Amino acid sequence: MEVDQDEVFQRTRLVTDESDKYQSEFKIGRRTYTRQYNKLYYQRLNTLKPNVHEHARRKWEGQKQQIKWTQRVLNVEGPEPTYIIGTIFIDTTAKPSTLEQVEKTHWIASPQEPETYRGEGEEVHLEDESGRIRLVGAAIDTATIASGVVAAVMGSETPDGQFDVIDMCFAGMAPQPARAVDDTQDKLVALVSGLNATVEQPVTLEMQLLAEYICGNAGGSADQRRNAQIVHTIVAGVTHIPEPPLGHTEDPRANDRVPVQGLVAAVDEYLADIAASMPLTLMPGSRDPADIALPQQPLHPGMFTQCKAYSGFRSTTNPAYFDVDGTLLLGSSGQNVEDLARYAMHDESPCQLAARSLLWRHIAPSAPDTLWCYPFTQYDPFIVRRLPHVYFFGNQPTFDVVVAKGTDAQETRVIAVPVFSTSHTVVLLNLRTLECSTVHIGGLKD
Amino acid sequence: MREPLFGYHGNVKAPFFKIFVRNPRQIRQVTQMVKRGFNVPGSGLYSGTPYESNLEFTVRFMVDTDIVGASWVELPVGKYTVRSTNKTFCQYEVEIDYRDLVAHEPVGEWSKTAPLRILSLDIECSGRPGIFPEAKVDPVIQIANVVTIQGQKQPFIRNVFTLDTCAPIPGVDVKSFQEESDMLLRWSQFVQICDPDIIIGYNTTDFDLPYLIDRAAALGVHGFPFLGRIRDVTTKVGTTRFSSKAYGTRESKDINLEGRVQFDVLAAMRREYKLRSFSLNAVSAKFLGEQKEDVPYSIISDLQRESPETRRRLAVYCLKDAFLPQRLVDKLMFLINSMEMARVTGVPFNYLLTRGQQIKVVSQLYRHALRQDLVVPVLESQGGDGQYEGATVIEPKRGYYDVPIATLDFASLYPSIMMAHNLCYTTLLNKQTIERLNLVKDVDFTVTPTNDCFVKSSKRIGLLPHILKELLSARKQAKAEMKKEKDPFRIQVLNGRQLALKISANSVYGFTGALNGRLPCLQISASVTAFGRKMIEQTVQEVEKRYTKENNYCADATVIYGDTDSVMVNFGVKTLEDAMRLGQEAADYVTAKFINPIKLEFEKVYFPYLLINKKRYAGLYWTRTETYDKLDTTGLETVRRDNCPLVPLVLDTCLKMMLINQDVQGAMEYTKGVIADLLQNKIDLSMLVITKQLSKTDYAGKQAHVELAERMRKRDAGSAPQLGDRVPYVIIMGTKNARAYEKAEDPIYVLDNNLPIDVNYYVEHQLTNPLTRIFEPILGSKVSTLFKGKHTRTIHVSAPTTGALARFMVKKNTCLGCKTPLKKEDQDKAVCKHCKDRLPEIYVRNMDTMRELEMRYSRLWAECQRCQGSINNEVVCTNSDCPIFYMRKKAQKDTEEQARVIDRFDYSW
Repeated sequence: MEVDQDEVFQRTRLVTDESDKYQSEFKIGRRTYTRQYNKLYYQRLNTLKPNVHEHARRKWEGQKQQIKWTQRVLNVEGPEPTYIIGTIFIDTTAKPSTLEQVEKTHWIASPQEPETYRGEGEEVHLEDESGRIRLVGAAIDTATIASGVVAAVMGSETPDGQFDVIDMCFAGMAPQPARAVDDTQDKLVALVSGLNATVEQPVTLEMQLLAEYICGNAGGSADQRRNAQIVHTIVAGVTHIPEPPLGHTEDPRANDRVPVQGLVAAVDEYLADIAASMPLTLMPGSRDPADIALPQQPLHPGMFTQCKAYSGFRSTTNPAYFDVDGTLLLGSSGQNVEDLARYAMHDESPCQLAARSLLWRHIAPSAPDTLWCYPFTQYDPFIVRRLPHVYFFGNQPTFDVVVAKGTDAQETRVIAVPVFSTSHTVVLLNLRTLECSTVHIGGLKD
Repeated sequence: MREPLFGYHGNVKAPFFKIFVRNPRQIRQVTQMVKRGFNVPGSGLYSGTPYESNLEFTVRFMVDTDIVGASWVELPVGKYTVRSTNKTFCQYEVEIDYRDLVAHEPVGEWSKTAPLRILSLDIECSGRPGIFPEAKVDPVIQIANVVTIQGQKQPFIRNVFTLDTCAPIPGVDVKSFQEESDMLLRWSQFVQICDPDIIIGYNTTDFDLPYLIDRAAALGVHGFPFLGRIRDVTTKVGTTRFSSKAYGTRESKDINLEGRVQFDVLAAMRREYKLRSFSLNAVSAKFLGEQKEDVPYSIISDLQRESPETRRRLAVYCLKDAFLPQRLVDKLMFLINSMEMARVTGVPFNYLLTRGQQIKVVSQLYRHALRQDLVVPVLESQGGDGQYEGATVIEPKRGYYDVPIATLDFASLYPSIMMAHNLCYTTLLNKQTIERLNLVKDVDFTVTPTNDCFVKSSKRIGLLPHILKELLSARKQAKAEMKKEKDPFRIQVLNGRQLALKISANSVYGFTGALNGRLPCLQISASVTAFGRKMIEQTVQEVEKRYTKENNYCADATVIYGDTDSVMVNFGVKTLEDAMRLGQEAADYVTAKFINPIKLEFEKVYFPYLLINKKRYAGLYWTRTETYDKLDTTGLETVRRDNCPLVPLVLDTCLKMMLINQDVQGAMEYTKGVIADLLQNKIDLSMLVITKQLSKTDYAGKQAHVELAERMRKRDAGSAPQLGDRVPYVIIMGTKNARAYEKAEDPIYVLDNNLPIDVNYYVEHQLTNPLTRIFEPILGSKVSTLFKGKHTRTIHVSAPTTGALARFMVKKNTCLGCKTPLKKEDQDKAVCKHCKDRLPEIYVRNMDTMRELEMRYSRLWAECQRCQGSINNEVVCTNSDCPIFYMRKKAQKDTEEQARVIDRFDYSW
């Protein structure tokens, strides 16, 4: 590795760090569980219904066809075409049944998730506050649609009381705030996911090289020039894997968590190197020592005694919004997209599915049905109120990016961030152009 | 010319008078008259013994016309006339002389079932808090109806009659009414128009139908009670008492629905199955594999009052309950099996639910008697308890056998004894007859082990052996047809038939022994059991004599147990093949020693086999050497209702480990683990819930569930269990001398207040006995080590949040690392100063628990939201039979509690 000693690069710094401007979006506060999930669905339907209606009206009313809105799904009557608005619910035997598990094993363990929930034996319903009606027809059977999506469906009632769907529409992409672009220089955001540090090997060689790369201590001068433009690093989930104890969590032997101390300290020390040179944001992921239900609350800052010393260190929720130099980012550690893939009917990439969820204006519709989540009652935080310019999600097998476009000229880069521990890849997002590039961090073998 | 049925008379017929009357009701008077004697002009007073005068008119008619239940009858063209005025709601109404009817035996083309129309219904009534609905006061608010054609999968009518408006339900005809009387009348008209052949439901005979009729009467709806097929006959509610040796005594309502069959699925379930609970929830969970939402009584009135949407919710629930009985009937093939039973025994279909076993035998007896010119006497009920000796049970050689045990069974033992020895009413001899006819012992007649005498079949073939022979050969034929048949529906029908034939054959013996029955004959029944005992003893001797080392077999065979018609033999061999070979050989060998058609069959091998006591054993059941068929258990109380679900779970798991895995050590470890978990409060509460029905309030002794219901009524009259409800409870820690009944508590209340469970009660009173029973044959006196020892040393008791003591308690936070009470200045911290360095580890450990609980919470509540079929409505289900009912409540509590623990870390470490 040859380093040109003559050139010295000054790291680009943001004048103000406003990345945590929206950090309360997914904060829960004092949690309470003496409630159920019905209110979350209800809030979702009520919030999105006007948006869905707006789109449906534009699509089906006033043009050559005059199709009327039936305000309640149960008021649908007869073969006259109409449209109705409600929440999609897919009833299927493919979903892991808690009841069945309890009946068989008398215990609730993490279920074996099937590859898909869709297909044989599924029943798609549309439900509003009045009740539900079963949706039929090819338009439904082949549509990639998840439980919990608020939708308008157009069609007519069949003689046996089902609704034959001809077409459907959704809330569409949310309004997008204007983006402040600094045309004068390139600024990069490094997106990393799935460090997967384990007790056995907390910091791998690739992780070490990654830190050196980001901090500008590695690579040639061209690399270093680019590295200097990294203004922010975001780690999207699964930093630690404190392998879960076997058996009952109360079992003192299985519950020996002492080795975790070392892991936590090593990861802290490792991340502190990055935090020393630039703002670093940490999101929890599915296996991190944080909640298991979405939104995951921030990893406890107490576990990062060294990182904490740097003002640019943030521990945030998953999902989370970030404002980096006037660009709005929405990030998730990937659980929501992973679950959506089980509702896909076509060979869609995770990016396409994530882009589709922006069209639904909801990034985690399958919560709480098949995606574990907190029982919100006052609002649904997963509704996309302001459309981000960038939506990334972590822990993906490969890197991918698509541009999702809305009807009102909205545009969102949807980025799949690969698992670092297997791909050894970091994604660099250019805040000026919103272009993405990847850098492969070579280990000894390369 | 006829011959009396009772006793052998040398095949001589005598003249009888046959008396016809205009009306079945006159039979009684005529009978009395004949007994008392009447004047015959010219010959003076004449009195006689009436025969066959106590046969029900319906059966009499069917016997005389040779019609069997659920069969086809032909009205030949030209023999009938169509009525001009309709007296019924039937489509066709004709008159015909009964002698012109052509009855078709249900075979071939005529074995097909008619496309019967089945109405399945359920009603909802609004009640007052704490009071079971009373028809005089509480209105019927909904009636859901599902009409299906027998044999079709989907119903062709689904509707619901609702009081007050109701939001539409897709695929359902919702009929709303403002006036209850209007609704009831229209429903009655609906029944007349849709004209069902069969009316089914769950508890309809005792609740829904009587309630509708009583309610209509209370409201003065005069047009209502005409639910039968005859126009002018009002439908009334009466009470009947039904008593049978097989089914016990049961009082039930009796509703006349001329021309329609009532089939209450609850009654059928009670007859056919032994279950912990017969609630529709429990039954559909067991047989249809689905839990159902259960709306508590207390909120039905609220749902009714609120809005069209809440009434719709109620209607959906009501419809589901109306459809479930139909699905149960289909799944369990109640109708098909009952029809086949009606055909085989010749009784009307509705007798199968309302009557016992006897009438089925009576019907067959009369049919055959008629063909042989026999007349059946009327015996005065003898009452009394002339006990005779029953079957043999060979003293079991208890133990755990990890060698194959062959089981030899006598096929249809009692019927074949009756056939082999020609035991019947018609062959019974007394001393005088023997002398009069000069009969020779062992040539002309048999002397049974009870010293009763019966003529041999060379003199006369008995009627009962004849009936039995027909039944058993018909069964053989049905089984043979079943093998050939491809159509799955036909196979079901044939299976129903062969089952009916088997049951019928076996009930003949019982009929002769039923002292308060129609025609008891203890000479027959006592002889049958005596022969049975002798045969079992002989079998034991033959087997143990032949299979010995002396005769060059590898070991001396021992009979380790035998009961009624079977013996279990340990041939001393190690492999299944050997046991099966010897079993088969022994069966053939012993069979040759008995009179045809008695046959000893080799049926199965148990390997391993756990013999606990008389009529209590378990074993792995093999009929082929490749794989076992099933785990067979007999007499192990896994379904006793006063056990909590933990007991059958532990028993089943232990038996599986012992018998399937042959891992006795593992079963012991598992048992100890469960007891340790129980003592440390780690067993899910739903596993500990005991349920008892609150059937009447005037129990003599104090009963836990009755006392609890009373306490709950004082807390909240609205939600307290009512008469007829099942009361779930758990046993909690009480004061030192508290009685068991004082320690029962509502599981929900226990969860809400963190009351400590009396784990010792569960160990001592629930687990110890059944577990001792299955482990004793293995461990002997060491069995107590299961319940004492190292694994019982850690005990965790939860601190109650109510109660006398709780008020005086000051809650002090303890260190989450070392559990020492935190000092004042550290009260808002998670750990003490010594554990500070271990904070990450302690945090991660608590997060583990939080994650586990979040998952449980999410999965349980998402499941209930799914199950209730609505995501926007709150889950209100109170189905405590559902295994996740208490779990989900506990998940709320536990997750909330753990969230507070996680909150304690919320400071800068």
